[in-house]
Amino acid sequence: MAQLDIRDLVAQYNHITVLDGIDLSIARGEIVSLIGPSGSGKSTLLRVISGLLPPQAGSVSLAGETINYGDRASLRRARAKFAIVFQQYNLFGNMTVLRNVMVAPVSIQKRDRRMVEDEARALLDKVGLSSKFDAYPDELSGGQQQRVAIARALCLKPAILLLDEVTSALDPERVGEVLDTVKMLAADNMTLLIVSHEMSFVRDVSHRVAFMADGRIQELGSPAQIFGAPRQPRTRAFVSRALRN
Amino acid sequence: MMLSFLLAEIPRLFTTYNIILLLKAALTTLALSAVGCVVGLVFGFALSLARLSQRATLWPLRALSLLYVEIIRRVPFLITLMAFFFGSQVLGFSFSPLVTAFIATSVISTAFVAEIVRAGLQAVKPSQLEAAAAMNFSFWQSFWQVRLPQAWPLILPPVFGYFVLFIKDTALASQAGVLELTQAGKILNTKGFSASLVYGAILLLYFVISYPLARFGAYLERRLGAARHSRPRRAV
Repeated sequence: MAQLDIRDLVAQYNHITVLDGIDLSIARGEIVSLIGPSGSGKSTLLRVISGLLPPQAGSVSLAGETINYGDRASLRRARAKFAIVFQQYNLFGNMTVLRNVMVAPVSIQKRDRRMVEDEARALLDKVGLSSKFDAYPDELSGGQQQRVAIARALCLKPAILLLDEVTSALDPERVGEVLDTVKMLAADNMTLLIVSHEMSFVRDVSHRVAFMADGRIQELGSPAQIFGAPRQPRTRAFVSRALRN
Repeated sequence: MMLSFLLAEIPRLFTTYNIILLLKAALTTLALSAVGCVVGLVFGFALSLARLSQRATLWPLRALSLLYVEIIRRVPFLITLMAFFFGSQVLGFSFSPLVTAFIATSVISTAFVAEIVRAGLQAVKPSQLEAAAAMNFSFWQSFWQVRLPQAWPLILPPVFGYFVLFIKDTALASQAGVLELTQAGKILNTKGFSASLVYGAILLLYFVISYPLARFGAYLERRLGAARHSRPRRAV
C-alpha cells in the first residue's frame, strides 16, 4: 500500500486553478522530486497536502486513511505525520534556535522535554549548528536558518517530510550545506517529497521525478528516464534548459 | 510681587480639607484611568480577536466589533460621555455620574486599544502562523506562543502612548459632575484660590499619575519587546 496516495487533486487560488488533477502515489521510504517551471503548482501541491490550502476536489490518503481537510481531527492526525520545510524557512522569530526545534515536540506532541532537548541538540549538531543553540533566527545566515528549519522538521519525527525549494534562497556555497543534510536524510530511509530546482541534486537523491507544468504532472519517471530520455517535448525542453544552467 | 503673593497663598490653599479634596480627586482620576486601561486591554484584546477570527460562522462577531471600533473612535470623547450620562437616565438607570464615567471611559478605551491590538496582531507574518498550523498548533497555542510574542513590540508603544493621553482625557468626566482632578481644580479656583497655584498643583498630580505609567510602558517594551526578534545588539 502506498504511504501517500494523491488522487485527482484539484486546488484553486482566488478562483484560478493551480492544481488540475494531480495523481501521485508514494511508497514508504521513497524519495520523489517535483520539478518544473515556476508557477507550475509544485509548492502549491505541498501546501495542499499539508492542509494549508484546502483542495477543491480529489483526495489525499495517508497509509490508507483519506484526509478530510474540512475536519480538524482528521487534519490533526494527518499533520502529525507530516513535516514541511518552507522555502522561506519560517522559523519563529521570537524563539531561539533550540526552542524553535523543541517547541512543537514538547508543547504539541507532549513528549518528554528532556528527551526532546537531547534529540534537538543532536539534530542541530548533525546539521552543523551546535554552536547556535541560543541564537535567534535573524542572527543566522540563510543557510543556517534553512538547516534549523530542517532540524525542526526532523525533531517532529514525521513519517513524510515535505521540502519546498529548500535551497532557492541560498547562495551557491550554502546550497551544498543544505543538500548534504538532505542527502543524509535520504540515507535514513525517510519518505521525502521534494520540490527543487537543483537538477543535479534531484538526479542524485530521487527514486522518481515528476515534471509539473500548468498544475499537472506531465511526466513521471526515474531520474535516468526524466533526465536522460524524457518522453514529453515540454519535459525535454525544461530539462535541457535546466541542465545547461 | 506676584511670586510673593503666590507663596503667601500656599498655606491657605493646602489646608487639610483641600489636600483631602485634591487627593480624593487624584484617586478618582487614577481609578478612572486604571479601570479604563485594564478594561480597555481586556476587552480590546477580545474585540480584536473577534475581528480577526476566520470562522465563517463568526461573521456577526466580526461585524459587531468592526462597527463598535469604527463608531466609538469617531465620536468625540465628551459626546460619548454625555450620551452615556443622559442615555442611562433616559433608560431609567440611576447610575451615579462616577459609575457612568467608569462605563463611558472603559467603552472608549476598549475601542482604541482594540484597534491598536488588531494592527499589531495583523502585522505578524502569515507565514509564521502557517508554520505553526502545519506543526499542529491549535489557534490558541499559535496565538500564545507565536503571534502574541511577536505582536507585543508593535502593540506596547502605541498602547501606552494612548494610555497617557487617556489619563488626561478622563478630565472630561468633570463635565458630567464627577469629582476628579480637573473638577477639583475648578472648585478650588471658584473658591477664590489663585488659578496658577491650583492648576499648578493639578498639573503635578497628573504628572505623578501618568509618569509611572509611561515608565512601566517603557519597561515592558524592553522586557517583551526584545522577544520579537533577537536580543538588542550592540552597535559594532
